[in-house]
Amino acid sequence: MERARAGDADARGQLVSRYVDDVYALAARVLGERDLAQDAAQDAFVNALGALHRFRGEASFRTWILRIALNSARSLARRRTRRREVALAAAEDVPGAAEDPARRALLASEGERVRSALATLPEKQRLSVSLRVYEGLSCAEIAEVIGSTEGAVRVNYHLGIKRLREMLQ
Amino acid sequence: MTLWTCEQVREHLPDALAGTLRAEDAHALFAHAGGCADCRAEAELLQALRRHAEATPPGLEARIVAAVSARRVPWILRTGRPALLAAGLAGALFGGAVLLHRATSPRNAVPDLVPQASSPQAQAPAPAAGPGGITPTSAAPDVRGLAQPLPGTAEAGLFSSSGSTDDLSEEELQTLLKELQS
Repeated sequence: MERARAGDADARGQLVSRYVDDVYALAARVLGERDLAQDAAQDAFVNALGALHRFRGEASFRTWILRIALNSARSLARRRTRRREVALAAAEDVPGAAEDPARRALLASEGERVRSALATLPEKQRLSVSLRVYEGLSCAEIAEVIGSTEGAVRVNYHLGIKRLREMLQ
Repeated sequence: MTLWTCEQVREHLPDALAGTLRAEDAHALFAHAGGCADCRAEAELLQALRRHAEATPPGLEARIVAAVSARRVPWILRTGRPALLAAGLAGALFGGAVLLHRATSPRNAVPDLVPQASSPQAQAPAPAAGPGGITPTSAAPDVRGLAQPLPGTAEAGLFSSSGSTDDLSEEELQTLLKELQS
């Protein structure tokens, strides 16, 4: 971290490598668009690494950068003009299904249903579910990222799961 | 083996599926889910969600690294030396204050390099005198110019060496000021 703070390119590259998946995934779930999500992810890293001197280590770096990513994504969402959204699943490549077209179609269909259902959740429920299930953050960590309380996150998570079960059963 | 309630299972399902639970806890959790239709349905839902996680597009990491590398880190932050930071900013502020003073001070506030007011030469009025009774001669430097740097003063070259605040943009100086004030 100290090397990254001092501008060491390798150290900064390692930070990018370690957290790019989490940052992109969060941006994608907020924005629902692949291209915008990439822009938001880039903004998040540029902002975070440009402000490393402000990271005091009170929270984990992961929750810190995810919080920045969320702000970047929300900022882009506000600036986004009304246009047709490109489905995130447009170029999905389901691992392990390449040789079986039927399985691939089934998984692609399931993927579409899952993504659509997730997208209909209110933002806090969607974020609580996503960060818990995909990134494995605890409710306390999610609360830090989205600026809520642990109790509220827990409630939003369970409400979100309940709604998903109703939509996908 | 500890028996888990439905509430405990649902609380820890994400951790169990991510493989971050202790082995004995995971075993207890899945043992419960195996016999509870409700918890099993929730486990299947979470597994479906995880099957369709967003994949990072290829090339994004390289793009971000390039963008981060293009953003220059101010030299003073690279050194990480608070004393240098403070000294550099103090010097910049001092230099700015001197320039401001020279820009606003009256013209007859002459430095030591011109004849003093007590000398007969300075007191005698001359037809070619400038404002304030100053008579420039070929031997004395022309001090009528307001922004003329004098030898030995701060603005004459203290910050002209490499690594000085001359290298910092206005934005970077503002950043340093905020660091000092924080």
